[in-house]
Amino acid sequence: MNFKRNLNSWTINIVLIVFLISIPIFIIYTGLLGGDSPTWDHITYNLLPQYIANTTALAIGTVVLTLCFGTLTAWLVAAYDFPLRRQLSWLLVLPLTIPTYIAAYAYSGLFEYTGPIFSLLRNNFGIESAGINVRNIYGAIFVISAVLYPYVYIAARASFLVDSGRLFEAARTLGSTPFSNFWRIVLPVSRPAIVAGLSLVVMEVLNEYGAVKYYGISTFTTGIFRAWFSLEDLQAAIYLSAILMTFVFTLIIAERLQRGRKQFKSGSDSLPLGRYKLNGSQKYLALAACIIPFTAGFILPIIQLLYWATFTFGKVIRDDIGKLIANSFSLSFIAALICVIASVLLVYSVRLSRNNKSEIFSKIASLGYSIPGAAMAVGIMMTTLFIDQVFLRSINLSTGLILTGSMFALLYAYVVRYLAVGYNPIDSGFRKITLSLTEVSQTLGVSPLRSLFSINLPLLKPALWSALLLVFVDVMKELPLTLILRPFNFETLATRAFRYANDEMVPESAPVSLVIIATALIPIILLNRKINQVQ
Amino acid sequence: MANVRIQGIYHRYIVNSFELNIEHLEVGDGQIVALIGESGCGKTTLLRVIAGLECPSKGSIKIGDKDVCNQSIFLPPEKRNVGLVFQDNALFPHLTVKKNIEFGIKNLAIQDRKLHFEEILELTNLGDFLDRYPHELSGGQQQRVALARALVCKPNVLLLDEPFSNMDEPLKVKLRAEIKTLITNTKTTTLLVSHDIRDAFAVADSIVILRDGKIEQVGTEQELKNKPQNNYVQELVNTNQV
Repeated sequence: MNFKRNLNSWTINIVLIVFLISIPIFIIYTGLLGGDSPTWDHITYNLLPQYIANTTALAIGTVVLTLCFGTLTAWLVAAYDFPLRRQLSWLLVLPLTIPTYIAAYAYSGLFEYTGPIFSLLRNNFGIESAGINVRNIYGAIFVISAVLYPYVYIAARASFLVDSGRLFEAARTLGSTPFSNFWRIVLPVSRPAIVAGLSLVVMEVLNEYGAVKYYGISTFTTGIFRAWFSLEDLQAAIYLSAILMTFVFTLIIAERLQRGRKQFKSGSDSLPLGRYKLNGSQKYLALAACIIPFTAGFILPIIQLLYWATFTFGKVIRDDIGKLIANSFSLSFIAALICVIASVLLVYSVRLSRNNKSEIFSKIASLGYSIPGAAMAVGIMMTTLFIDQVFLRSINLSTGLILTGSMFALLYAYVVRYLAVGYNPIDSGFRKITLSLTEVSQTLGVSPLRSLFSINLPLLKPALWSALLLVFVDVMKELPLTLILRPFNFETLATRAFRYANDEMVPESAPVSLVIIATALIPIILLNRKINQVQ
Repeated sequence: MANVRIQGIYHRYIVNSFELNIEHLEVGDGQIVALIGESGCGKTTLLRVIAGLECPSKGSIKIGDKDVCNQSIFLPPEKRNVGLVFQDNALFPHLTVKKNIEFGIKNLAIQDRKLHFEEILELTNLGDFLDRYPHELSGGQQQRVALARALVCKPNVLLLDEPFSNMDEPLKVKLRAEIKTLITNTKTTTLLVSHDIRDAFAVADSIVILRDGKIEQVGTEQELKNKPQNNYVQELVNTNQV
């Protein structure tokens, strides 16, 4: 009886959204049961060892580098006073606006024989050099780390300021040195936050396609592409995706476990660390330590892209950049809108059902974000194929492929992958609105749906905007899902940049890349302004 | 206006295994009843059950002639026509006082709306504040807006959750008198919840003592003082505060 009375349209919303999000993720495992893979033996003997070795090396390399870049800069900015500290504290985030594949293209040009660096040396200083070939795994590790370290930086800095602020001050009054404080107190307390930042880096590395493809490194993701499109063996792609996803799930569980039972929150509110003063030369050392990663991750790639753009801009403009921008913007906007609507429905339904287990829903909603794009593309394809061939055909609606290879499949994939990006700001926005506002409007005879529109949404406006913007930018930058699932002949800015680069027309990719980066800068600048206003 | 009849309500929280178990409780038409008890005794939960914000595992509730909750029916809050004033008032922060009060008025017949709005406005003395936002009002004024917003819908029963908490003593005394007048003038059946028995003595016709989810005693101030059913009630009545 109780169950039936509690079963209302809001509960159905939750079940429906969670179901739609999780099918493409879990359907891959059903694929393990069926079908023959003609090339699987070939893949396991000749390719799989290489995929595993390269993917692991790439992951470990970037983890080490981003850990160094990210924690060092975060610690300097949080605990020391040096010139330009305030500016650098947000400039250090900017490399996140550069998609890894674009950074990879820029870096390969930067260190070429004909690139700006060696041309400068040759023409002005008479230094002859063949250039440096960065198109290998070491180059890839460096380039990916240079643009992904902000994930660690953001997590570490927040944790240094909030979690360990007061503990650190207590340690200072006990007279220990800054260095020993860092190792004995700050780092252990902030470890969970740093590991969370690092796990985002690993997810991005596993998702990586454009950069490793261009640098000629075979990873799981390029393997899925190859099995599917070159070997035309979807079953092998399913096997590879299942292995990759199992690895990701293990990682997620390990990350949860490392937090353990320990309570890392010190309970004090955010308290800015009293900053250490540095003397003359130390000041500039700290400044240099922060400027180097920022330069490597943002300034250098931008310089190279601008340099290329000066002589390819006209040509690309004459092509169809307008159409590409329209495609990218409309696609990103629709995907962002769906993510925001789905998040609002999900969070609001969980609130109304008064379920304390809402944490579970946020976990499921955010699952898609950790699934590498190529694997998720396989899952989406299996889902839409199933609907097309089994469901729609059985009711005689279709004899072919309606959903598969359509805009629907692509949008579906974006929503599954980026729901978490919209869910988080909307969830925390809702937490600031007390439930009693909805309850009181119910007792005043207003249905929950109407009070969603008249009470909750107006109060939620800032959160809605930031959710929309964040998803929008992420979809703009997305590459592997778009490459696989886009309708035939449909191109976005990202896929065009990829195509130019892989057709050995890298300079032509620059103007397109700059548009993506410029768009990605918008939310960072807006958010930074908001933070400054608060301060 | 209507009476409220509660029969055999049982509600259990799995999280802290708290149980609410009300065998019988009746609030007469136009009566003011106070629910008194320590924090955690289930008084707010009972209020939420009556409002329809919690669904009890067992039992029935009747408001007037209407069954709002029994084995087969569970009316959602928006269909019950109860007015609930939350402890924090829950005023809509983005709406003016006028918009707040008018929020639920659409459920009244069109010809009644204006007249009733004016009437409530006069009773609550809010005429000068209609264009203000909630954060521009004092605590007492905010509460009057919350009351006006509930009363303007002509609720069958008015539910007040800790209306006098977070207030200093002089203000409490003033507001008790205000609320009493307001309720009596509108002849609204009222159930109010408090941890302070002096609130009950000041405004209620009948007092319900609640402890660990069960009713200890029901009676008027005189009855409780003269014939307390047990030591708990006696102590409560004599110390004047829970």
